Amino acid sequence: MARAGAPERLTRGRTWSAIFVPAMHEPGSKILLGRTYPEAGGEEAERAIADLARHPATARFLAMKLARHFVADAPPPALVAALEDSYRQSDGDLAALYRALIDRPEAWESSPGKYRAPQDWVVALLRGMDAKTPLPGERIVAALKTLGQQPFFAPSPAGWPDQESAWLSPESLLARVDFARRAATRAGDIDPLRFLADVAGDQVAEATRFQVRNAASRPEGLALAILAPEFLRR
Amino acid sequence: MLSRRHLLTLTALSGLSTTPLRLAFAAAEMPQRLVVIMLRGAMDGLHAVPPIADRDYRTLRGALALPVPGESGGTLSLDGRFALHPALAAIKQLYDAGEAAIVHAVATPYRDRSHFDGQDLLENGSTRPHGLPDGWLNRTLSLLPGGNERRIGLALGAEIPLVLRGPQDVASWAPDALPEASDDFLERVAAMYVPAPGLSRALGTALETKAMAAGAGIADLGAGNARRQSINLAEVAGRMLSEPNGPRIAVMDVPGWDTHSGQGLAQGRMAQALGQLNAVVAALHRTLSAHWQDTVMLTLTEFGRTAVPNGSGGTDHGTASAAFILGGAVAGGRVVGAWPGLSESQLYQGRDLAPTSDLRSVVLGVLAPHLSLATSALTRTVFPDDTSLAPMPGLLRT
Repeated sequence: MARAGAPERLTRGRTWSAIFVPAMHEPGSKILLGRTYPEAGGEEAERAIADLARHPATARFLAMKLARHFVADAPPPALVAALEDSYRQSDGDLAALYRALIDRPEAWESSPGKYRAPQDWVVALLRGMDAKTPLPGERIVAALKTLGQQPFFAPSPAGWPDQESAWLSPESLLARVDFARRAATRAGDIDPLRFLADVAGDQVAEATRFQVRNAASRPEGLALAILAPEFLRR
Repeated sequence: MLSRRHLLTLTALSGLSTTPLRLAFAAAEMPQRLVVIMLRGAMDGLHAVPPIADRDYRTLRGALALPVPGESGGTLSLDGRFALHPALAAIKQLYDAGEAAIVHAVATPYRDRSHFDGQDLLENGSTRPHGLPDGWLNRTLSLLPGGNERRIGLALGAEIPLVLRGPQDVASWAPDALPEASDDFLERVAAMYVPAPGLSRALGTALETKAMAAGAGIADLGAGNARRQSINLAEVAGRMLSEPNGPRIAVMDVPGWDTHSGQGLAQGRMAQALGQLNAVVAALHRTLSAHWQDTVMLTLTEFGRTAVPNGSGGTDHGTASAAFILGGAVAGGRVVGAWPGLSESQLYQGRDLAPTSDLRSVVLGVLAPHLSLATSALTRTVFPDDTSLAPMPGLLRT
C-alpha cells in the first residue's frame, strides 16, 4: 500500500487534496492483501483504496468504532451487525451508516454508560455552564493536557483510545477532581442543582442529588455535580 | 506568597482613573481597614465558643462537650460563662488584650437549612435568597468618600464573592495554585460514587495512595495544603491593605465548617477548620500590625448547627452561631449578646441554639462607627429590606 500510495501527497491549500507525483512512484505491479495491482500510475492507489473500503474487515471495523463511541465500550453485537450490514448494502456510504445508527434504539438508551474522554467531558461542561466559566482558552487546553487529551496531539494516527479502561484511572480521576473544583470556583451564580438537571435530566441517582444539594457552598456543589457519575458518563 | 508583581498589579488597578494627587488625598481620607472572613458551611458556634457554665451544656452536647479549661485539650476560658475551643489561641490572646469581641447566639433572618440560600441571603443583605442581585459590602463601598474613584474593595480568591459583587469596581487576587481537595470534599465525592463501582474503585485507590504519601511525609512537599494557602491569602490581604494606595476592605474565605461527621474535640474536623481560622487571624494581625489600631476583622457564617450531636459524631444544619469581631479598633474582651440557654424549651424548634441577635445589626455595629457612616444611609443602602435595624452598640472603641 505504501508503495502504491507513496505518489499520493496531500497538499495544503484552501482545501486538502491529493496529487500524483510521478517521480515518487515505484513502477511495476504491486500485491496488496493477495491481490495484484498492475502498473497504472496514479490510478493504483485509488483502486487499492476502493478495494480496502469494500473489504469486510473495514465494514466490521467502522461499525464497531461507531457503536463503541456512541453507545458503549462493549456495544450489543446485534447493533454492530446491523451497522455492518448497512455499510455493505450502501456500498460504503458513510451517511447511510450514520443514519442506520440514529435509527437504532440502542443509540437512544437514556441511562448513561459511556465514560467520557477528557475532551468530551470538558466540552460538555462548558456547554452545561453556557460557556459562562471565565476560564481562558489556554487554561482549558492546559487542563486537557493534564487530563491526558491535548487537542490535536493524539498519540498515533489511530487517534485517541475510546474505552473506559484508557481514561479512568485513580490518578486521572484526581486530576478531574481538581479541574472540577477550579471550574466551579469561577462559575459565577450557576445553581448546582439546575446544572445537574440540565446535563443529566431525571437520570440522577439519589446519592448524587443528596451530595450536590447538601454541599457546603455553591461552588462545592457545582464541583460535585461536574464529578457526578451521571456527568462523567453519557 | 506575595510577589512584587502582584503588588504592582494592585497599585496599577487602584489608580485607574485618578491623578496621583487625588489618590494621595483619598488614601489620607481612609485610614480604616476592614477584613470580612466568610466561614462558609455553617460554623458550630457552640463548639467554637462553648458556653461552659450553662448547666445543660454537658448533657446536651454529650460526646461533643469539650474538656474544661486546664484539662488536656481543654477550652480556653474567657469570662467564666464562655470559653474558646483550644485551637483558637490567637483569638484568646486578642481577647485578653481587649481586642476581640464575640457575639453569641447570632443569626441572619434566614430560618431554613440550605447552605446555598443561607449564604446568598447573608451576602445580598436582603431578607430572601436572591432578594437582591448584589452584595451589601459592595453597596457600602458606594457610601465611602472616594469609593467611586478607586478600588477600595479586595476579593481574595478565584471569584469575587456575592457580598462584594455589584456596581462598585473591586480588586481581586487569587493564587495560581489550587489548594489540595479537602478530605471532607473527597469524602463527599466518595459517597456520591457508592452506586458507581468503577468510579468508586478508582477513587478509593487514589485516596489510599494519597494517604500513604501523606503518611510518608510526601504530601507536605506538594503544592501546599489548604491551610497553608489560607495563610498565604491572609498575608496577601494584610499586605495589600497596607499599601498606601491599596484597597481598604478585603473579603476572604476560610472553609471546612460543614461538620456533619467526625467533628471531634481538640482534634478532628472542626479543630482543623478552627486552627485554619486561628492561623488566618494571626497572619492578618502580623501583616496589619502598622494599621492595627484602625483594623477590624469580622467573621460571618450562614447559620449555626444543631445543638445535639447526630449519630455520626457531627452536627447538622441549625440556626444561631457566633461571630468574632477582632482588631485594634474593637472594644473587646467581652462576649456580647443575650444568652438564650440550652434547655429543651429554650432551643429553637427544640433543636438549635436560638438567635437573640441579628447578624445584620452586628454588621451595622461595625460599619457605622468604623467607616463613620450614618446609620440611616447604611440601612437604606446596605440592608434596605429592614430600615428599622439598629447597629449593635459598643462593638468598637470610641
